[in-house]
Amino acid sequence: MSNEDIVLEIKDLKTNFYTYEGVVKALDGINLKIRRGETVGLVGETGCGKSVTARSIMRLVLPPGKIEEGQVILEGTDLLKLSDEEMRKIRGSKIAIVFQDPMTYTNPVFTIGYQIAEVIKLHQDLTDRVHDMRIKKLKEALEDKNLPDSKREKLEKKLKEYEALRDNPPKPTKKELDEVAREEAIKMLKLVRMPYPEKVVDQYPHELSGGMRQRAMIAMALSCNPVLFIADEATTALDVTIQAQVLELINELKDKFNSSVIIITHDLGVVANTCDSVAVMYAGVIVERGPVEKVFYNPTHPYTKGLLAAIPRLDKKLDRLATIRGSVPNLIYPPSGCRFHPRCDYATEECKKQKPPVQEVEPGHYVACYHPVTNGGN
Amino acid sequence: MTEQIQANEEQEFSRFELWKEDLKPHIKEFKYSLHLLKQNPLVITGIVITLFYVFIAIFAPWIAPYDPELIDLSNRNLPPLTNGHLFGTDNYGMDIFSRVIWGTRVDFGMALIVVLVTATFGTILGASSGYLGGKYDELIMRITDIFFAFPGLILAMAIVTVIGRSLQNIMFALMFVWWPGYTRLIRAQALAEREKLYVEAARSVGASDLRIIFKHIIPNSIQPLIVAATMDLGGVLLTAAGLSFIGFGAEAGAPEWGWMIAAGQQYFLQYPWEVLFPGLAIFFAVLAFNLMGDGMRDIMDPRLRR
Amino acid sequence: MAEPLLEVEHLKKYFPLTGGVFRKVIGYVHAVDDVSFKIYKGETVGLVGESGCGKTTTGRLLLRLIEPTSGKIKFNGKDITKLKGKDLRHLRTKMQMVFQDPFASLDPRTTIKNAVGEPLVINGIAKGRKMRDMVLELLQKVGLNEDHLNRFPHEFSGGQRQRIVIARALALKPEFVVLDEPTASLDVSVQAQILNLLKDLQEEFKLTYLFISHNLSVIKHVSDRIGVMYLGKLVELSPHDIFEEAAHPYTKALIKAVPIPDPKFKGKLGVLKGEVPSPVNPPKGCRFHPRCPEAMPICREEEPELKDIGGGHFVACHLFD
Repeated sequence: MSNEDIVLEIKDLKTNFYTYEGVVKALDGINLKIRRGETVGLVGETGCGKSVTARSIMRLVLPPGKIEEGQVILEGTDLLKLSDEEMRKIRGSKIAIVFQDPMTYTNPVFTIGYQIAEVIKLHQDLTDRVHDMRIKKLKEALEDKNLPDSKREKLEKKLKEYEALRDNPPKPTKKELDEVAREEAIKMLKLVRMPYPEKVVDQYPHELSGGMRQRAMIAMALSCNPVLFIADEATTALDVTIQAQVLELINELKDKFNSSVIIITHDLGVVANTCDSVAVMYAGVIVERGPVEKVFYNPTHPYTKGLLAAIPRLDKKLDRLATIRGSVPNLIYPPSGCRFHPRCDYATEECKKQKPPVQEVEPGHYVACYHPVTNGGN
Repeated sequence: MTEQIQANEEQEFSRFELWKEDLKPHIKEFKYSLHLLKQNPLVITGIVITLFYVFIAIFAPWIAPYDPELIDLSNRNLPPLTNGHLFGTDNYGMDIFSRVIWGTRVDFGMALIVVLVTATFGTILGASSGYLGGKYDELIMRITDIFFAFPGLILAMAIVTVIGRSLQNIMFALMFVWWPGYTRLIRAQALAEREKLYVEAARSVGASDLRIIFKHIIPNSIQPLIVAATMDLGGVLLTAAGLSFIGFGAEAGAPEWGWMIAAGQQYFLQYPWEVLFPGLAIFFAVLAFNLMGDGMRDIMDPRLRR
Repeated sequence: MAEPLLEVEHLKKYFPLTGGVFRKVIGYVHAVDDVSFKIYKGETVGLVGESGCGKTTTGRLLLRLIEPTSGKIKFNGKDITKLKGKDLRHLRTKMQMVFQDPFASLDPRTTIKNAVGEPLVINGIAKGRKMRDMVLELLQKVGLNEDHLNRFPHEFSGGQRQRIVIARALALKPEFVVLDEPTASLDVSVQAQILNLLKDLQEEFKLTYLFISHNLSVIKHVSDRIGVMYLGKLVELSPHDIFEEAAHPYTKALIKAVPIPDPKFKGKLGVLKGEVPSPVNPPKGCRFHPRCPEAMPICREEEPELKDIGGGHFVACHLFD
């Protein structure tokens, strides 16, 4: 891994929530490395901490939540040590996130175009592009054959002025910025294959369908060419056929932008289809991670095995679904040692005492377990 | 024979046990609400003051040193702390301290009764109106519209003029003023609740409309009502005192704070205490209600709960 | 063939849309548009489709929770379409529903005991101590216990709430249960528990299920027969493994769009173009034709009828005319 280009490195991340009933130990030491251009699936059930992880990366954890310790290193900078001001510059530009329900996280009183343009204006210096636009407009005006000579002279003089100022263009006005940002927004909408992008850019979120809204949000997320793109249950609320469209889009775009992507989902099918590697989370801990093929065909953590066996499959007929006995623990009083031990068929005394160390069962395939089951897949 | 008694006892026992069991979860919720309230010092102040007033209202006969309507023309307009009159006396020699104390029963009691009665009535009317809809709903809404057309105080004045001036009649008048508000409030909640899945689930097991309204709609609609009602205690009290102040309410001489202020206002510059003490009584009562109401709003906020 | 337990004939439900100052009717949502099928005793019929296809509305129509615009519903041979009052209440004891969203289908201010016991109390079957005992028995059947009786819904997890809802549905010992997305909001491992539980209960109480879901894998797992709905129409109904023998182009597209939890299928997702059209103005002719990869000129003109193409497999598509 050391010679690979690591974009994000999470070290021992611990996040707690201080509630009336007690302290919820939501994340108990998360370790993860993501390479440039890699798509990582973060998969787990309710309460496993996958969304909390995403929010911790973006430092969007609000009280009563608190990031207790750890490091989140993005391209060499520990995000947890930045000031609020500095973190704001990173959000939306270097790291972008798309959430589950596009109806609730888009602002209903602004048009789609306005919202995308807002992000662009906030994080990008559009001065050069504005200047290019001015020059372009002048050139277009000069192409008009019916232009009176006096006017033509004036415009040509202005054009010469602007061309000379290319290296040091005058400051753009608000109107010019809005115009350029809007053009960029339309470009982004075209990129996400939004039907009728010139029309959509002036529409409000409620006028679009769920799938289209999600595309618009992806357009917004990618508008500043982020290094890391997080999709937090981005397709969970969509119909199957629309989900397929959005997944195909994400697959295409991540190659185009060479972004690293974190796909957070509870759907193992989505993971198998889009991800290079996967990290399985349970009760605030990553129990298994590695390349997708290795984890799916050779699941070694009892939880991963249980999860894979519990899914009804379209390609197989199962009589009864295998279940994992028990239920997800209350993270105010998490089980001692390995958090999965009360539900594990292979648990022994040492599992109850101490958190299991992370072992590498195959190259690149890691498990946090005292008794990894290494005798084959599902 | 003993078997019969034993069987009956068992039944009694289990009925009591059952009732206790049913109560437990509600007690737990109540305890949690108290915990939330405890974290807000202003609210606690409001509650303490209110309880203080309640205490005074209940024990008025034992606390008040004088008969509140005892006229003693030889001791008129005495300043506070003279001759055993803690707050002094007014123009008729009546002890202000005793009158303020007895006034608690009048003003405070009136506010409480008005709010309780109109809130109950408004809840039932609003819940059924919102849930049942149709012509019944339209009718109720138009009636409340008519009442809303009049400013509260004016309406109360008009009603009192018609039915005659007395403390009881102010109470009736205020009930007429306040009932439409609660009806509308609960109706709005009912409209939202009736679309919810659990109402449909109840209907699918055969629940009648009556059962749904009383067992499902009303319990889920009263939260904003509790906040509004607590705040309204202050509003009703002020309106009642206000009516008495302008002469539409209490009979002359009654130990009512509004009347006391009216009687004392002509001597305000010479004997300010005659206006000050009833005024302070009103002020602290309304303040207490508002603080409590704020607290209620905070603990009802679902984002804060759990 | 035995008599069907439930029979639906040309069922339609149009929701009026009002608009304008005088709230005139300006159009209709064609939620369920001429649907017919039969359900036999003891089987599980799966009804699958995407949002807006009408499957949930169909479930509600069967239970008469909403009134059909036209069409007939027969239960045990008897026409129940127009039942009212006492007869309707009696019917309700035979047909029950497990609602979608266990978070919303339980009254937040009613304890579990009262929620599950409500059907018993309302129908005069039990109250007081007897009700409590019966409720406890039901809760135990679904895997809960006495501690859970006097708590409020918000104290339970999603899986537990779904069990409570199932217990409530079984309180009246129904013959037919409509399950509307019973596992949609549940985790995978919890879903597995609930699906196994539903299967066990079906055997124990001899229940007949209509299982509504948008999740094809779940539908495949639980159903004996499967119906596929699109925009208010039943486009395919099959007794066989529909996923091996899918006939209708929409069914085929739906199957290809499901991501399989196996990396060897990576990047092989079949993408169906276009959005689901509005049920207010459905496309003329076959409703699926704008998105259909195999559309023919006739598809734009005429609506295809649901035809038997052999062995009880029905398809509504001109490819099979």
